[in-house]
Amino acid sequence: MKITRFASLLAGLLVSSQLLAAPTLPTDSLLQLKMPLTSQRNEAVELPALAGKPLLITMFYGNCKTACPVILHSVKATVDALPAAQRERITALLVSLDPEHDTAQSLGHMAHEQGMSAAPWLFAVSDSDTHTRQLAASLGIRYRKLENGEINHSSKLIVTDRQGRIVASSDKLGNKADPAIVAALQAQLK
Amino acid sequence: MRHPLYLLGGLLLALISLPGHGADYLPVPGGRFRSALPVDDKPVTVAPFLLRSQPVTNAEFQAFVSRQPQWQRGKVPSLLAGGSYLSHWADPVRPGDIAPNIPVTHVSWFAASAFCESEGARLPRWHEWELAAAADAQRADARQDPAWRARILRWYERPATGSLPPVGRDANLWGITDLHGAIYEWVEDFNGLFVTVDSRSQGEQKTLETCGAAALSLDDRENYAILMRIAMLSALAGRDTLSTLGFRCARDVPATPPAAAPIKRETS
Repeated sequence: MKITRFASLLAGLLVSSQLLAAPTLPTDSLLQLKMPLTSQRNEAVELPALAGKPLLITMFYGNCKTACPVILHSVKATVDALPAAQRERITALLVSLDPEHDTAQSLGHMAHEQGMSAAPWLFAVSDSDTHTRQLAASLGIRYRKLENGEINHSSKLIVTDRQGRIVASSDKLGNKADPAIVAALQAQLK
Repeated sequence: MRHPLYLLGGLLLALISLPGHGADYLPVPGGRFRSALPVDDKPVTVAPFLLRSQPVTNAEFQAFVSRQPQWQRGKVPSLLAGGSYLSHWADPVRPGDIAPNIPVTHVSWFAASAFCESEGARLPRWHEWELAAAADAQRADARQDPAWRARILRWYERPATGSLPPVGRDANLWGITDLHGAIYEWVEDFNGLFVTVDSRSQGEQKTLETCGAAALSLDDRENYAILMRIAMLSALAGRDTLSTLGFRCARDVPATPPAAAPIKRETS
């Protein structure tokens, strides 16, 4: 019993020391979160490596029949509202709330179906509920899992500056882009 | 590529920093549970789990920030802890006049989660906490007893002045102490405790930013003490800290036969 506690404590020490990374980012940057993410192209996504471009972020889940199509439409409408030349200069990051079911493959399939395979689109899923909840908590996104596999969640689009600091957010999701969000993105591209 | 001596050092560090006598994890049986925050209006299923018998104290948190300086006041990124993080301590590594054996408060959800990880644990989920807190000294579920409810409610009526009491009071049927009457506690899924039906209702979606009104859409409006906690937790952000908000940790019941926990490391 002692040994078990011991080993788990040691494991905890090793794991928790990795929560934070990249000390050069501002202290309120989302990109400091140390969480493993895998993209729809089955590549590892390093959050600090996303610095340099403004981010448009939302969270969703693949097996979602209700709000998520609205979220995808909304985030697409926001990107489409930008002049074509500006679209390449942002990253639109969509992170799964459901690491239990969503995989790089399922995200890739969804991205392809929606015509969102290439840049600026970046779908990603983390390795655990714990890491997923850390990102959601940082973004102010609330969610809970139901026993039938559905996930209740708040729908939100977030804009960050080039260093991952939140500068705007909107819960006005629909088929049209929220002008405030588009303006916030463009302000970051000046 | 770790040198054996390094590993030995880590083991020694772990030995020295083993939490004091208070950090026992006691089994709490799960089962079907009627939550004040029901999911689909049905009882929830809670798997058996282990719960830290006492809240984490100032002394234990002090040991933690000594081992992991990135969690010291002044060093922790503002993304993970707000400006009042550990603001009641004398300095970044010492509580000073604050008693060592009272619950640590002024800690963010991120910091609480990191502490639990350092004990090979996690924060309890809301339904786990609520199930454990439904017991009194004799009964697994004392919630229908008006006398028990009244006793718990009295805490909320007292003004929050003076020092918190030392941990170890009011052990319940499972041996868990201090669930009522001292502090609010973080739970792992604090950002899942909103009351709306689902995100189809966005636009008029109420994510319960303030206390009060939303309690009416909860299940058990007699149990006002629990509703206060739900309202409180659901209004918080992960970086928030409060003078009345602390935490304890939980663990999954280990799979049998109990094996040494694997040392999980990522290659970097």
